[in-house]
Amino acid sequence: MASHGVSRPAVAAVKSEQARRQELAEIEKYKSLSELVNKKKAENDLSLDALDLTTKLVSLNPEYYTLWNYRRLILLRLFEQEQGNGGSTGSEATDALSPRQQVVEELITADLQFLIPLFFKNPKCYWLWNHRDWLLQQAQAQLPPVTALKLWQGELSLVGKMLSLDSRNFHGWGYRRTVIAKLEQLQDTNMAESEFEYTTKVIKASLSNFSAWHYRGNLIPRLLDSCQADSTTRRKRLNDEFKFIEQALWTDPYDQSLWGYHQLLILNIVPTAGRQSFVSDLTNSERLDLLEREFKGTRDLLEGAEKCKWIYQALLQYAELYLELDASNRLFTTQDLRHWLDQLKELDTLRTGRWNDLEKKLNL
Amino acid sequence: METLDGTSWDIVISGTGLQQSLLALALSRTEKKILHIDKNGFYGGSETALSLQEAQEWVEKIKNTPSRTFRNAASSGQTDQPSSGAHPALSFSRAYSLALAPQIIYSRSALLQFLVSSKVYRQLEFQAIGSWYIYSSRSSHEETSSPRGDARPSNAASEAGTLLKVPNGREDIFSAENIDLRAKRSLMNFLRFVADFENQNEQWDSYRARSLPDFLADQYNIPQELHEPLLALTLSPDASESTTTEYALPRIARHLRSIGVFGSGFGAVIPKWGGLAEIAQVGCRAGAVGGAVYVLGMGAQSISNVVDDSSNDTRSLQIRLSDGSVVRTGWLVGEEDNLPQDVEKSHERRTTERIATHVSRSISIVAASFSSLLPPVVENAPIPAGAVVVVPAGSLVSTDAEGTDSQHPPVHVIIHSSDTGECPDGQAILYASTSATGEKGVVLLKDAVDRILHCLEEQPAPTVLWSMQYEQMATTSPVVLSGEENTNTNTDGRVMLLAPVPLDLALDDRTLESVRSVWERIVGEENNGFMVFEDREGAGGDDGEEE
Repeated sequence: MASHGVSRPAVAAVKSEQARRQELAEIEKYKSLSELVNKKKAENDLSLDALDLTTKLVSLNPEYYTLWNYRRLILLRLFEQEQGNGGSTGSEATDALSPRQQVVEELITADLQFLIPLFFKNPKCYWLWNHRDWLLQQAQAQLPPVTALKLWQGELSLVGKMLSLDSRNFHGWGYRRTVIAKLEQLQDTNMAESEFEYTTKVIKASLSNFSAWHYRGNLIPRLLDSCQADSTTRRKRLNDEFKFIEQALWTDPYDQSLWGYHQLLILNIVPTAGRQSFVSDLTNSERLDLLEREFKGTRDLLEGAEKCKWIYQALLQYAELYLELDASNRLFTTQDLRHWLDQLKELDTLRTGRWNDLEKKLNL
Repeated sequence: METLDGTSWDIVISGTGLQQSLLALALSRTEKKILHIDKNGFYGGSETALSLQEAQEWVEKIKNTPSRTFRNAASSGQTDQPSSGAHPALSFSRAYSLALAPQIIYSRSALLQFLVSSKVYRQLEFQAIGSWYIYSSRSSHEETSSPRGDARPSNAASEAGTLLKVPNGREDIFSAENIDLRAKRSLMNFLRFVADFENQNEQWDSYRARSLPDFLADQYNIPQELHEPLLALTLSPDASESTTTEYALPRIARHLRSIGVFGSGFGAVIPKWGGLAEIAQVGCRAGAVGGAVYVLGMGAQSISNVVDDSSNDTRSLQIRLSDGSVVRTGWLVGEEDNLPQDVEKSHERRTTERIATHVSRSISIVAASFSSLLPPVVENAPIPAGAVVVVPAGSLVSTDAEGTDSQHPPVHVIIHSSDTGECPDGQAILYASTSATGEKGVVLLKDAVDRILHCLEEQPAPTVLWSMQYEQMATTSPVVLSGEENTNTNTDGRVMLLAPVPLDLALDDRTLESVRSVWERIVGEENNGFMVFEDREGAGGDDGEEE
């Protein structure tokens, strides 16, 4: 059981003599191990024994990145060792692994396993993610596709578990994208739909998850392409997403990640330079209608949240977009803009400079 | 076994209920000589867990000799019916561990912190309490949609009802399909306030003694249909109009602050294998490892002061035990039920000042797994082993003349699945309680359990295989009566009387405070922190962390 909320009494701040001696012993052990490993590295010792030594040392300190490089050199040497034993080259049509490939698979699987407990203890250590990625790249290079595929599928469930433990670990999200890309490549499929559902699940579990919203936004174009969505489907998707984010914004308008997503959707109505909307054939009058609807909806959000700076910020931003579409607007007055800007200045004094710039830009 | 007669102890603890066992744990590292006795033949006292056979016997015992704590016990259901293929039947006696104390423990509770700091947490397994529901008598046939509504055959018309999930926080509110946008906004504003309510007295000071629904409607515009779910979180034994804002706010805050501490989506746990009984066991085990002597089937019959002898021995109490032995001790600690009558009498003045009421309780073994009520809250999260269902006051509107009086108080039901080890696979235990007593209470509990069973999707509704009902005395606050308030000084302040563990569905932290005050009086100045221990030699370090 984790020790959440356990308050340690001040008494325990002073280490007992026993604990101190224990710690000194552990430091000694670490230092001598580290010296030994570095000696071996200098001697270019690339044996199995050396591998075991690095295992011990990285378990104690996964952040020691030179060790990982050393470890990879050893593994590469061990991969090659079977070369001379009459093993055939890797690119055979059969599923059976050559003796060399078996060795490679064993080494890779063993390393993958070994990494897992380290992962749970150090979920944000770059070197662990890198090494894992390297192992899987090696798998793909050296083993038949079907074996590599199995390993990558295992990765998907691992990253699912890591993200359920900490749904905001950006290493996890980045890794997930790598895994999905690989699986799509190996299986020649488009996994956008299942990934989209995954983001829905994560968002429902943790609304304020920027990574999930961001991933979701990125997936939509691919999702629509994968089922060759027609115009109607695309419009429906846009409206569904607006409905979804509306629920979220009414629940918690103070959450920045939600506004990021809303903005993304708005930019699909009125794409700025260089962007492509996933509903690329909106007519001008459709754009106006949608923007108007969303603008009114954003205004409504003020009800019960008059001190929420994000709403005022959004209103000003969307007002600008609206004016570009339709200069003869009847949605809001200059007085409105003035009022919102004043609110913004009052609620967010840290960014006064920015609001002053905005004021000039809007000619207020 | 050698006789205890003539032995001398620093502390005699009478009864192995939760509090006494935690005291034994707290004292397990001292050098004090401790004798820990219990007049029952089992551990756990009023917090024990019983096999089916033991439960039958316990019910009989209470029927014949009701105590101060328990009375009006009865059971129903055949325990010896053979299983007949399609019909589910009871399993053998030891397949059941029916908890007399099935309370949920909030994740920020002091108890859990102490179990960790004292290192005994490793001997316990805790499981998540997942979703909370309230019962609504409106069936899914009516216009109002509910997240659990499914089309249901119309034969159960009069008994139809649904279980509505109580939103646990922002994410639940976001996902709820039966709450409109503005109501979501209002709810969130309220939750934000509750998260910090102690620092916002101006907001609610004038509503302290007023009902929570008034506060919700006036200050937060929360629509009426959302009042009951919020009330449910308080576990108040009274109807919503009688539940004050002052009572409700800290409890709602406790609930919300506990969510997510141990994992997404849940905020409370239960110990596996039989509720608080497990914790009592672990406490006694720690006491034994620490050198305390344990004797079951032994009660304290009478106490007196030792006639003063010249030695300055602080062991000045003399206790006659139920086997006739006489022992000396410095301190005696216990609850009313396990201390001699004469102690009780001398505390009578304080006793009558305490508010003592009874609640009706029932334990039902049901042939259903309740898996639809126990979904894992998020992917990869532990499957909850329990759920809370609150039947709000007045919601059991009866269509027939006999049946529950519609002015009934709320009924609180905790469902424990077979994952708790309390019953075999495919069955579950429903623990119900209400403040109504007598015949009214019995009928109310039965009705509540029945209605809940009819809310499940299985047709026909699952049956209750066996059940027991009883009444238990509840106190509103645990007070340690240390005898020093006692003007009758014949025991010199050395007898400490613990009030029974409150029957609140969520373990009351003040229980721990009682134990701590007793402990402080005993150990005095030489204490290193309550329940803070290092691992014993040879133990510990195996938290599952790889090294």
